[in-house]
Amino acid sequence: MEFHTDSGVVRAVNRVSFDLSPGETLGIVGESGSGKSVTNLAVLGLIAQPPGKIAGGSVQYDGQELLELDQRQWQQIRGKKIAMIFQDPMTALNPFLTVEEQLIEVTMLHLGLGRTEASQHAVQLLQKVGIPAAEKRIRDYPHQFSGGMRQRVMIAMAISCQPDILIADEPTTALDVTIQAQILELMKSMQEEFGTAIIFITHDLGVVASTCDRVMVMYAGQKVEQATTRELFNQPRHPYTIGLLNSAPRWDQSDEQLQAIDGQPPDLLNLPAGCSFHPRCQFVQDECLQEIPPLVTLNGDPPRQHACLRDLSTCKGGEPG
Amino acid sequence: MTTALLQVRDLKVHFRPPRRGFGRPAPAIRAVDGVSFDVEPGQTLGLVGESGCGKSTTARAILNLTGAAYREGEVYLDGERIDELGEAAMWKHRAKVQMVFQDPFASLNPRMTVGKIIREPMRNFSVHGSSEDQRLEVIRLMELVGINPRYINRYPHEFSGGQRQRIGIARALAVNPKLIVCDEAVSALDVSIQAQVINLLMDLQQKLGVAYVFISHDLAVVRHIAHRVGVMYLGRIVELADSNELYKSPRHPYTRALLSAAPVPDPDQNVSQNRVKLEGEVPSPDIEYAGCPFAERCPDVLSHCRTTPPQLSEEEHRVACLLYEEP
Ligand SMILES: Nc1ncnc2c1ncn2[C@@H]1O[C@H](COP(=O)(O)OP(=O)(O)OP(=O)(O)O)[C@@H](O)[C@H]1O
Ligand SMILES: Nc1ncnc2c1ncn2[C@@H]1O[C@H](COP(=O)(O)OP(=O)(O)OP(=O)(O)O)[C@@H](O)[C@H]1O
Ligand SMILES: [Mg+2]
Ligand SMILES: [Mg+2]
Repeated sequence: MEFHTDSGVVRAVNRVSFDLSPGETLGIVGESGSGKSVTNLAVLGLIAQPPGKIAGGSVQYDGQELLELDQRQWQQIRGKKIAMIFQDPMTALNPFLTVEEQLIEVTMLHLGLGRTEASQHAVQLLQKVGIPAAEKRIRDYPHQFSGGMRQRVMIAMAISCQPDILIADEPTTALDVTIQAQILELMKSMQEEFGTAIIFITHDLGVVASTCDRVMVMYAGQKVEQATTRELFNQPRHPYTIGLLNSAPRWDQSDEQLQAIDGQPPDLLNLPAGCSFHPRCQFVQDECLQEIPPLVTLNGDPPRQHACLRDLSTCKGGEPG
Repeated sequence: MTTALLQVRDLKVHFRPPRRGFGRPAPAIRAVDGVSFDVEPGQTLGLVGESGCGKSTTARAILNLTGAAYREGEVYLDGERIDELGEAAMWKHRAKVQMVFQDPFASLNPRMTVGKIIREPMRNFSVHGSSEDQRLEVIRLMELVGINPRYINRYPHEFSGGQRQRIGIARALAVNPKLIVCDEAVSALDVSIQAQVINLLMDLQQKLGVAYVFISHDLAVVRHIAHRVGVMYLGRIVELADSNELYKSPRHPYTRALLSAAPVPDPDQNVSQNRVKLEGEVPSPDIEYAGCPFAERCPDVLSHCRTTPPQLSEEEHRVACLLYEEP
């Protein structure tokens, strides 16, 4: 996935592969700007081309190649089979339509509900996501809602047609932890009932730990590690992952300085030679400056992957073993 | 006693919905309903609370940005009352108070390059001298928040969510304000960059004595950055205490429920076990409650909670709950 800009070609996503089984939750974590949103927008055919360009690759859903669909075919899939909770609710919601109009539009189109039925359905959805006085507030416009309420409107919209795949891009950033817990439970019960597969993009490692089966870690447009949640937290193998886990603040502990990964985020117009992470890596060796680390797959069930030339299997968040 | 940098006294902001047809007008949404707090120079007040409880509205009210909404109460900056000032008079205070908005995309002008966006406040308030000095300052700020200065001519839509958020932070820092109101300012950042930005904010506080009102859902982040923390529920402050004290011994049942629901980044630690689950309807801000608005969902509710309104106590560790009031 590339963007053609005045100053050069930004390779926002570079050879990222992953698969998703029914009923599974895949977490995607990674640096801000590492390509998490772009990857998933591309999966849904939502990147404007130009300036964007899909330079190669394939997205298969249920045996169908999504990258070749036309607008009409997308209508059958987007919102109905694959739905997305967007990172930026204010741009994803239409400011000139009431919340009700936006919610019923989706179910009238995809589920063929009548207006009254769709309306009732919409109120129920808003109640499920914890909007107080839903039957009244549904007639408000998005700007009359708080940040977290807007986010919940998007969640309601995305789950309204019980999609097979739900892509959730930072769905709970604007929610307090009690409502967040409620939303996570809602997603889980939907998953159990309908076998929905969920892609969960989040910066909140606590949420990852409590909801995801597997986790993929991205850095500079690439997948640098993938493992089960437990493996990833207990035995991270990529130095970026190790740094990330060490940066997480915990509310149940108080220490003065937070541990950030040293150095600046990479410049996508001008990635360093060799491993993209090497200028910031505490385990760097000569070979890392020349060689691009391949994504190594280790046997296991499910197999885990990492892209690092060093063997960091025996260290936990500190010195190399 | 020194005067606080910011004093908020019994602030109320109500949104009156437009009349629909004939009949009785719909009740107003009491977004903020009697909030008072102080922020000392160089200190950080954290604000946490349920989504929709009025945090952003409080933040906007501090900067006189609540538009046509009905408001009551007083806001003092440096001892001077600012809530009654008009646009023009407020202007001279804008260099002292800056805000980082919750919705980074909506608050960045889509037709301006990042360089222009960060520079605009410097122009408005004529700081950092010549045009060349301003350009250098923009570059320095971009580096500080971890955005490559090569992107100075890019537009907001060309950035990721977290990058936009950092542009908003850089813009707020541009005029060396005395107070920055940060509304979910680091929520879209991965934990490493978040740590970097928080360390930066704390550093600036140490060096320049900036004060912050720091709104966040992330209890861990608030614990790290805030000296004092206020917990809001339905337009009111229900608990206000020193940060460590609040986290170690929360008193209000809502605060306790909130802390118990916070997930910990460790898959082996099961939080759901000791989670205080809140049952019952989320209360609506268009109802005027006779007693405590949390009563319907409170695990420790007493018989008179629904009829007697609790008062925020006057101790160091302030709490508004009848459990702690003398009968
Ligand atoms: N239209 C565009 N033109 C140029 N570059 C773009 C464009 N859209 C995105 N990018 C770049 O692509 C990269 C990946 O962006 P993306 O939004 O996928 O990041 P992300 O991982 O979702 O980050 P965040 O966690 O901050 O949301 C970023 O560096 C961004 O600057
Ligand atoms: N312009 C407006 N018109 C009508 N109601 C509004 C308006 N702005 C906010 N409200 C209402 O006021 C209440 C408080 O909103 P506010 O944005 O202050 O909440 P918040 O605490 O910031 O929530 P969040 O954590 O979700 O961002 C909500 O019920 C919201 O719907
Ligand atoms: Mg994103
Ligand atoms: Mg808000």
